[in-house]
Amino acid sequence: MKRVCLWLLMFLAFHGARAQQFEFSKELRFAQYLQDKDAAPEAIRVLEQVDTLTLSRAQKDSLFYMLGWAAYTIRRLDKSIGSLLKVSPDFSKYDKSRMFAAYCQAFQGRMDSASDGLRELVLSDSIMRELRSLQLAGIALLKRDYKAFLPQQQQFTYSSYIFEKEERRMQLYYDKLKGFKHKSPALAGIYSALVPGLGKWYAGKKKQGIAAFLPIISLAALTYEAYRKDGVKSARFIGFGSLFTIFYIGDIWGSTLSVKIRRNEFYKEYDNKILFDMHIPLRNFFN
Amino acid sequence: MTIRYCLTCISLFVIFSTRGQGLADSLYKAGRYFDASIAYERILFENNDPNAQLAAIFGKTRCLKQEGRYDQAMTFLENWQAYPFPDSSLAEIHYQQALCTYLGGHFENVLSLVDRWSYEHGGHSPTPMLVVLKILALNELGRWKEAGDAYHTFVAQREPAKVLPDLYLHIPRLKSVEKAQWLSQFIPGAGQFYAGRPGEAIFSILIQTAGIWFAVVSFEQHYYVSAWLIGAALFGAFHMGGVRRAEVLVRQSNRKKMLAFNEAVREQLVSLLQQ
Repeated sequence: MKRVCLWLLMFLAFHGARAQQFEFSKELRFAQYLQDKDAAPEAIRVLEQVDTLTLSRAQKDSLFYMLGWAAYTIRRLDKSIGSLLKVSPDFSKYDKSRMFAAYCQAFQGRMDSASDGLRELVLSDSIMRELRSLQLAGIALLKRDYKAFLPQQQQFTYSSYIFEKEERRMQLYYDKLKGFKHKSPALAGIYSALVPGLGKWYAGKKKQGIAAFLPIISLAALTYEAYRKDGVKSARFIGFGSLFTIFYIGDIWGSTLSVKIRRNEFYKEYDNKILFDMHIPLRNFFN
Repeated sequence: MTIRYCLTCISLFVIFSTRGQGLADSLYKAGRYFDASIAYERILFENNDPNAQLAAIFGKTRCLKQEGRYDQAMTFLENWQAYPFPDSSLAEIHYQQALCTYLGGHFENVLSLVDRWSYEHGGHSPTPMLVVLKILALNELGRWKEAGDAYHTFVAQREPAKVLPDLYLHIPRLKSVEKAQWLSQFIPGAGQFYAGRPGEAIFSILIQTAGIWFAVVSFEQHYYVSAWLIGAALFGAFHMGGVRRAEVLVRQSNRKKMLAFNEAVREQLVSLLQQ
């Protein structure tokens, strides 16, 4: 009797595990089906409802990878990073998961986590190592850490068609970013004090400079006319004079800020280019 | 024994295949349209039974419509057009696709879908609801002549005996944007009057007159800089703004008229269909 019960128990356990495995693979296929139909939010919902407690390590890896990838395709980067980083080193797509997680982190401005994640990878393939160097070089440029860029740049062979152009462009971005001249906000303020709008012109915002010059000069002319015709104590002079002062001081203050704004715009433009050139080789290599 | 086995198999199959449908329907009824659409999609993924598939297709379409995802519904239905369903079902899919296309605001595509109907469904003429969609789409595109012709044919077919008020005798007379701009250019505020906004027209006249008045008075008192930089600048700024505003107002007025006309046509045609 005991033996029969034992056999029955073993039979049920075996079939339970088989059924659970079947259910999981079915869910995974369904999620993949949704993903193929450009229904990533639906795929995420399906994958999130899978009970991870009952899954084996390999099943969890598949689940986290697919969840991370679906979230990445619809730019839910926090979810994507969280899931891709849960994939274990035994999983066949571990390197891809880590590389994309690092890219998403770099995109979010989490540079240190991104570079740490990439450095931890043990890569046997030379092209993969070069791809990692390209990513690390990009991260170094995003951090404006030009010293860290050079050792990575030395790993570039410019021989792989997958990222040869991106390697050359990274070099170009390095030259441009390093050669960017920092203009002085104080000097911009002084210029605008001398000639209204000239500080903005100096900062690189020529149209804004002209736009600031015209109203200030007009107000200056109105103030001068009021002074000549009605005198210093007239309401007309005080009114236009006050307006002129506000606009004049505002322009000086604006010119000092415009230097910073121009600098940020320059960096933002290059950040976008760098992130783009980090992303394309990843997609080309892993797809 | 064999009969009992077959019956058991059939009942198990029915239970299995309707379980997903029931879940999807209950999610839909609970207003959880996103989850319901996944449940319907799961039926399509797991099930090869055409009846279950059709129920799931229409269920998912309902969910997408409830969520306002008309473009997704349009693409989803397009993918099922080539399946070997019965023609009546394909016709319903075709109609739902045209409806979602209309709701998504792709009016040219609605016309193309209506035109495709006869050769996709064995030469049959489009269903009444599809004709209504065509008339409404033509209205939206401002193709009044074609819309009017389709409307008259439709009304004559549905209610030959009954005399309904002919809405196309009073097609909305849309105002010309160019005329409004031209009027505002030469007579301040006239463009706004033309657009049917007398309040804004009076405000525009007053402010531009004030600018001219200030310029003239300042000039007379030898405040030449003030005359130019305040009076003339005020007039110039409000004059150019008035021209642009007249254009916006005419566009708004035209849109309003078109919507009101379309609403009247829609109400009449739908009531005709319900009879």
